[in-house]
Amino acid sequence: MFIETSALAKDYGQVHALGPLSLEIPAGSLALVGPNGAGKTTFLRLLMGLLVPTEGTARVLDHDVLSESLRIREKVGYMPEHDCLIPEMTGVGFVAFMGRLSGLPAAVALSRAHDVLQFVGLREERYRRISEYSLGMRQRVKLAQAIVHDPPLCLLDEPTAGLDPMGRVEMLQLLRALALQTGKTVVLSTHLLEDVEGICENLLVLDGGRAVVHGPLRQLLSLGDSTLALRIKGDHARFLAGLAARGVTAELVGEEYRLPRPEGGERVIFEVAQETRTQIRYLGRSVQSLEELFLNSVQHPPRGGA
Amino acid sequence: MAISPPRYALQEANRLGRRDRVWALFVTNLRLRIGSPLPVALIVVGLISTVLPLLFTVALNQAIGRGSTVELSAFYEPYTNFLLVLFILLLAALVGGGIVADDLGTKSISLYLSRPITLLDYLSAKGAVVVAALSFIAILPGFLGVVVAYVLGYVSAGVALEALGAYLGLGLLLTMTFAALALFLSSLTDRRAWASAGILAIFLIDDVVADALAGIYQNVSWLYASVWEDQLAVARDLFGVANTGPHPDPLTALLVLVIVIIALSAVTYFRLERMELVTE
Repeated sequence: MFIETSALAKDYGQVHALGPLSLEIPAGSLALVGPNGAGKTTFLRLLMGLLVPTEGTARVLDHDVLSESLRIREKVGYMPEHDCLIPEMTGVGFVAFMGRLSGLPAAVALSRAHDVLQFVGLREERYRRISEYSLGMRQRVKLAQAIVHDPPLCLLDEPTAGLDPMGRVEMLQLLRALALQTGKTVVLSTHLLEDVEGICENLLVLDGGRAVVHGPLRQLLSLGDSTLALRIKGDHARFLAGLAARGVTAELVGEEYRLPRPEGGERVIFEVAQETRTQIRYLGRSVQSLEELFLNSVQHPPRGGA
Repeated sequence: MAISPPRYALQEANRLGRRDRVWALFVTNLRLRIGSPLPVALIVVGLISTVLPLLFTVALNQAIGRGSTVELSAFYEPYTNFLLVLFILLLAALVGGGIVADDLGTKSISLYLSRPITLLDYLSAKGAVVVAALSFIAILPGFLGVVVAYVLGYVSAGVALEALGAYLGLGLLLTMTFAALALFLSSLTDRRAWASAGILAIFLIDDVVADALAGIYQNVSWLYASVWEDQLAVARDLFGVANTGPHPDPLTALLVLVIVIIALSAVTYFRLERMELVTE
C-alpha cells in the first residue's frame, strides 16, 4: 500500500478538522474530493508529517509519518494550494533550489529543473523572475518544483485553483501526462469534479473530515448489473407506459432512462419497443456521473472507506 | 504547449544528506539577501568607515609610541566606533527583518518545510545567513585592519593574532545576538518592515534606556540590559583594557548575551513549531 492510515484524526484546538480515517490507498492516481473545509489539505499535510495528528497514525510509502517524516518528504512531491514561490528568483533558479533542498546535487538539480520546466511548458520563460509570471505560469512552477526530484508520490493540492479556462485545460493535460505517462502515484486534491475524470483511478470523498466514499473510481461509478441505462427514439410516453404495464419503472436521468433489470431480462424491453415502434439507441449497464456519486455520498451516510 | 514527460537522464543520482540541504538553503538565501545593490552598498560603505578609523587609530598609537609596535589595547578604541554599530544595525534591519517574515508573507516556508529539512534546519540556515551578512561589518573590517597593520609593521605577529581572535570572538557574539533578535522579530510578522523597525527600535531603546537608568540610579547593573554595553564589556576584557570606572563585569555581560541568544532562539523555535505554520 502506498498510503495507510489508522484512525488518523486532527483537531485544531476546538475545531475538528479530520477523521478518524482508516484507509488503505494503493499505487495509482487518487482523487481526493470534497467541498471546501472537508479536510483535504489537512489530510495531505498529515501524510507529509507537516502536521502532528491528534490521534491515530499513518504510513506513507512504508514510512511512519511521525517518526520518519523526513524520509517521506524525500519521496514525495508537494504542490500547495496557495501561492508559495519566491518572487525574486528565476523559474529555473527556484526549481533547481527546491531540487537541492530535496537532496539533489547542484548540477543534477539544475539539469532536472530545465527538464521539468520544459515539461510544464515554461521553457521560454524559465529565466524570467517569478514576480513577472502570470498566475497560470506560477501554478506550473509549483508543479515543476513538486516533481523536480522525481518523487514516486505527488500530492497536488487544488492545482487548477484560480486558473482561467484555458489554463485549467492545460494544467489538466499536464496532470494527465504526469499520472499516466510517468508511472507516478498522483494524489489530486480538488473540489472541482471535472478535474478528476480521465486522470484518477481511485476516489476518496471527504466531507466534514469523514471519508464518505473510497475505492476504485470505475467500481464506484458503476451501478452494477441490476440497473440498466436506456436511450430511445420515438414516442417516449407510450414506451414508458408499455414498460409500466410489465411492472418496470424507468427514471429519466439526464438524457437517458435508468431502470432496474426486468425479471424477464432485456428481452422485455425489446418487446415493448417493438410494440410501441420505438427505436432503442442504447441499452447497457448504467454508470452514474461523478457529480451524482459525490452528491449522493455527501448527502447520505458513508459507503465503504472509513 | 508541448507535453512530454521529463527525461530524468540522471534519475539514479545519489541524494545528498541533510547537511548539504541546509547548506543549499544557507547559500541561496545569503545570495538573495545580500545580492541586491542596497546591502552591497551598505557593506562597502560600512567596511570603509570601520577599517579606515581602525588603521588611523593604530597608526596614531604607533606614532605616539615613537615607532614601537602597538599593544592589543590599541584595538579597543576602534571597536567603540559609532559607525561600526550603526552599519551593523542598519544591515541587521535590512537583512534580518525579512529573514523569516518574507517566507511567512510569500508562504514559501510551507514549501521549505515540505522538503526533507526540519524547522531547526530551517532556522539554523536562516540564522547563519544573518550571521554571515553581518560578519562583513562585524568581523571583516577588524580582520582587514589587523592584517594591514601587521603588514605595515604597526603590530607584532603575536598581538595581531590575539587581535584577530578577539575580533572573531566579538564579531560572532554580536552577529549571533543580532541573528537571534532578527529571527525572533521576523518570525512574529509577515511584514519585513515591522521586523526591521523592531530590530532598530529594540536595540536603540534598550541602549538608551539602560544608560539612562544606570545614570539615574547610579547603578551599573542597569547596563547589563544593553546589548551594546555588554558587548563593550567583553571587548574591554578581550583587548586587555583596564576596567576603570563603573563598567559591567565582562563575564556577567558575556553570560547575559549568551542567555539572550539562547532564549530568543528557543522562543522562536518553539513558537513556530506550535504554530503548525504550514497551516493558513
